[in-house]
Amino acid sequence: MFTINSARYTFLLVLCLLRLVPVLAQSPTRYTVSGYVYEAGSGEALPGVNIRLASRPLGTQTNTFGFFSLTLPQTDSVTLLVSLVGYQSTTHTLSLQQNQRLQLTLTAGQQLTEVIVRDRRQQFSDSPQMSKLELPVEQIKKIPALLGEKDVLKVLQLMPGVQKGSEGQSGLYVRGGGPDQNLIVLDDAVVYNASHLFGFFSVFNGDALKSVELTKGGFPARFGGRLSSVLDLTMKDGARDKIHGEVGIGIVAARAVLEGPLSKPRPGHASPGSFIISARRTYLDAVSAPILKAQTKGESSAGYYFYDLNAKLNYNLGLHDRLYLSGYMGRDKFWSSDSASAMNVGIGWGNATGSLRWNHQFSQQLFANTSLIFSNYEFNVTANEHVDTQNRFLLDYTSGIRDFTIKHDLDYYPSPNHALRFGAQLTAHRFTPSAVVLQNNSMANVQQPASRIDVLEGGIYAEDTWRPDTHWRINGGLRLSSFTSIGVAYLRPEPRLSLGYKLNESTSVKASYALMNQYVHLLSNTGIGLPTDLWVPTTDLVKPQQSQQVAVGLAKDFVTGGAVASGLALTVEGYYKQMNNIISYKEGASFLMVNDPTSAQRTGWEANVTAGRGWSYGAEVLLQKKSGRFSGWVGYTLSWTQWQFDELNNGKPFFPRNDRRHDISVVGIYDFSPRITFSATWVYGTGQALTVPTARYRAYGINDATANSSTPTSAQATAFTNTSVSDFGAERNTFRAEPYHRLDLGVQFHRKRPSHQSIWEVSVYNAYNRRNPFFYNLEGRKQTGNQPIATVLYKYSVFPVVPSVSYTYKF
Amino acid sequence: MNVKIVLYLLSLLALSACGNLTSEVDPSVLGVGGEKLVVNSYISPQDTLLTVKVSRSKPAVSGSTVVQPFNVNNATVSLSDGSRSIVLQYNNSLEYYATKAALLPVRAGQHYTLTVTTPDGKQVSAQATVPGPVPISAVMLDSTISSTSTKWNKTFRVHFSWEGSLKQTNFYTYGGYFSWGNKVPYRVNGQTQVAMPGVAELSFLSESTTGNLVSDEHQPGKRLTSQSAEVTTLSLDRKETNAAEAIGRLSISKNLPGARLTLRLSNTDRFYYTYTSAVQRQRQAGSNPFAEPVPIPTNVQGGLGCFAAYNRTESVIILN
Repeated sequence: MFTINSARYTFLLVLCLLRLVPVLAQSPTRYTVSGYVYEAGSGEALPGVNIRLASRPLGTQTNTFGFFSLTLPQTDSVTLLVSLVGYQSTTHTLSLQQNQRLQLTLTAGQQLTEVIVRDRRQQFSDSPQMSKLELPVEQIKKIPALLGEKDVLKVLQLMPGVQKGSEGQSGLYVRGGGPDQNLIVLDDAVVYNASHLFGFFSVFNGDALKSVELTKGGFPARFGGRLSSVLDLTMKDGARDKIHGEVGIGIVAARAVLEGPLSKPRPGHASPGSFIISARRTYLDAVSAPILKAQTKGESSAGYYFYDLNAKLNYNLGLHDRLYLSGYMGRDKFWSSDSASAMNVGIGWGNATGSLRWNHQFSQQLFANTSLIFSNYEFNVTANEHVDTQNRFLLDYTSGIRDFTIKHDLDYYPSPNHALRFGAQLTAHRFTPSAVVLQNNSMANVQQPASRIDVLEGGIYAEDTWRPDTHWRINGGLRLSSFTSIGVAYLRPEPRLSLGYKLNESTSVKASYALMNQYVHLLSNTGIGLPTDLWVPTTDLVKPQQSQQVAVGLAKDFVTGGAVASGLALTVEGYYKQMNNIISYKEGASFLMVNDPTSAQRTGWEANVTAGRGWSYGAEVLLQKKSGRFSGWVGYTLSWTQWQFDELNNGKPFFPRNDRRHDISVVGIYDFSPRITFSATWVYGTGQALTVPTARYRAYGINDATANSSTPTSAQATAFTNTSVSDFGAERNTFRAEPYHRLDLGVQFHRKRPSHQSIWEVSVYNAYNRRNPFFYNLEGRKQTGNQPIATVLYKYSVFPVVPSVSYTYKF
Repeated sequence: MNVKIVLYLLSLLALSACGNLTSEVDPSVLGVGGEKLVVNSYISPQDTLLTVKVSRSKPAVSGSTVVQPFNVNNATVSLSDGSRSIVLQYNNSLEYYATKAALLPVRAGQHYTLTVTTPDGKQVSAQATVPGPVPISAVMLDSTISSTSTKWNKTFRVHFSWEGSLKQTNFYTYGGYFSWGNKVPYRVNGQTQVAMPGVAELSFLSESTTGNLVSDEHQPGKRLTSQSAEVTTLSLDRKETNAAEAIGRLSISKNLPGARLTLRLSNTDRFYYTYTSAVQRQRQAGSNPFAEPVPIPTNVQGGLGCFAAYNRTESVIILN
């Protein structure tokens, strides 16, 4: 205990120096109310709950673990207003003559449509945070989805400032940044590849999630490591009251959830722990494999599946300590085998994460969390052709990244005017850009051993959310990030500042600045979430990426009858973001080349990437109807993104693929009756900026004129001879794909019984069968008669109208 | 909800989902401009013939998938060094515009302007400056002995190095060939054959992504070394007496009299490097849809193609 106490005193000493504690010392006697807020029934701890004084605009919010702390002057009676969108607000009155610990509960709102998306605008008076989006998981489940597979990332794509890449892809482009610039964390563990099935589905199973938060600007100091966004996903803890289950079946996948207390709860005593386990698996392979086998008379088989497993355990070790153990594992597997050619091919990839977290309350005002985190992503290709002993080919390619992280965070609530956070984090990354084993009789065996790169990434931060008066809200902080590898060391300060000013009860203005560094990079050709995308570290040749973003915004709740109506809410934000040392493949480079195991020289990935800068600016408007039978939102983004790389486009600025001038989304949910819910979404986006050949011609080499002379051509060092080439026009990405637009419709039929509940859902993706472009390609087309093959530009689409049906049963 | 109703709705929707997912796009969306003149010309002080190729580009969406040469044979092609200008005549057999180099000597450090005018009023021009010569400073020849179940092999390889100017970034391309006199007659099936002089290209291992193009742009020093190339492999049957020792004594000159290596290093201007590597990368990327598109740069104002200058040095090694 000595160490804990001494740590606490040291900590308080630091705070005294910061002139935070004297506030306490000078004021009359103060007492602290702290505790947790749980969901009634399941006992699930609730993050982001507002706890406000009924009398004054002062309050706090529960943290990720549902903990809150408020220190107030001594009083006979104080009323706390406890609210969270989607839940029925409650009040709690207490006499504050001593420190108190509370266990509060909130009942889920009967009207599930109460709020679609929360922007914390309601809590504006308590938070200067802007550019943050939260999605209630229950609402994600009501929005129609491709093949009925509810997808967190695709719902986020419906928000302003967040765009999709190609059709059906789950990658997020946040304020002009690429999918590589998003930090995706699941219970504190980084998820490196969030794609299943080549990006058409994300790896997050909504059944296992409790909350989803996306920050696209104004980053608090506790976040770092990526340029453009932080997507923070929290897994459910598991119900504490009794065993609950859910099974669902859709067109492509089936899923199941089981959750419950670890021990039988006694009346008046919740179980000290609970668990949840959820799984999802596609079954296309089970359906298609027998058909393929029958078609090829048993000679060939092929298949594809993916699965996800989420599991979490939590346990209270007494009043002050809690343990959480959570894990995720997902895998995609494609295989084919052909007995005629004796060829077997397998492609597999997947993430595994695990985190062990220990909450400890040093006092009612000081909350600590210590995490041990593991994350691993691996991609593997195997090919094996074994006709006979003379004729054999074997390829085994592996790439991946593995992390071990230790993280310590402290939340300190000295007074209602200050909420401080401190912390440190250290991650040991191990990159395996490629490990190849290649055997072939006709060529020497290639054994490219796992070229492992070990690096250390660290960060320490401090931030304070300060409420000097009833108008101003300030979050200021500093993060020091560090990166060490062989011959490379960086230590960079990252200042962060967010300001909020409340004009009146319903209107506020905000501004923010954030500097971010990114020390790990994703090499990706396509913008599609291919498993071949490769994570690589900063090296002596490849510098860390850096961004600076300023944003200003206005938030307004439309007031009717003097109270903040549960009606319309509007946010308008403008941003400017500058990105330095962002990387791209060089012209002509691709994963296949970077990793070509047969090339004479080992072409390092560093030789194939080039660095440049980018900037993005725009305006975002979000109008939400948050409650009532009809709810939804309209989002509009007007933005410009440009890149400038010395080695791309002759050094001239150009629009990257994801530059999107206009982006509109409309989402509506209508509760026709307690049994029937209709939903619809419509999206529109400017077409991608692409590079398409405009002309073709023949290029002649250095000595094509004298190629017939007696000297061998190589003596002239001919790099190429007379060859067809394509002209892509004067500049890169000057071709605009057709605009993207799509309508999705869904209807849910609910049947509720005291002991169970069932939902039928019928939905249609791309209801009016729009042929949205996926990619364009120049191809030859056969002509009639003796005409030569003509060259034609084709547009490829992937999804026509796609209907689906799914069924869910809960108990 | 009745399951039958759901299935019925689903089948209706599934029917509507039919249709082709590929559609032809009107080429006008590409904003195709007119045809452009394409000029390719490379000049060096070592040239005996100055040549210029003139052709035309065609819109990408048009006609055949195989690009025809679209040769232009009625242009006026002139080359100037600033003070003097010559006109190159169209050579029907070469399908190039050509003239003797002696009419306008190509000199290191000199600036040249190429102008092409066609009867339809198009005019394009390009400029290039001839770099200085860079001599090959060292040639390294080595051999390795290996064996198979029937033979002993001795493989000879060569690589070479040079030092470029410290003042600026340098660009090179290199190559070479192996030749031998081979005057000794030999017998096949009892018949005496008259040997022909032999010539073989040297095949250097490729530099990453750029073939035998190199730049000292990101090199710490200015001394560069070529990749190595196999010169030849001599073999001895394992059955021969003392084959294991004899293989060590084998030399190229004994087997191939008059053997010599000709190594060539061209110091090129920057644009040659930029252009040539772009063409190579576009070819390598081929139709790989995941490769980044490679625009081909041009220094031909108003047109396409490349006008570049280089200076070639040679090192001849007689193999004893």
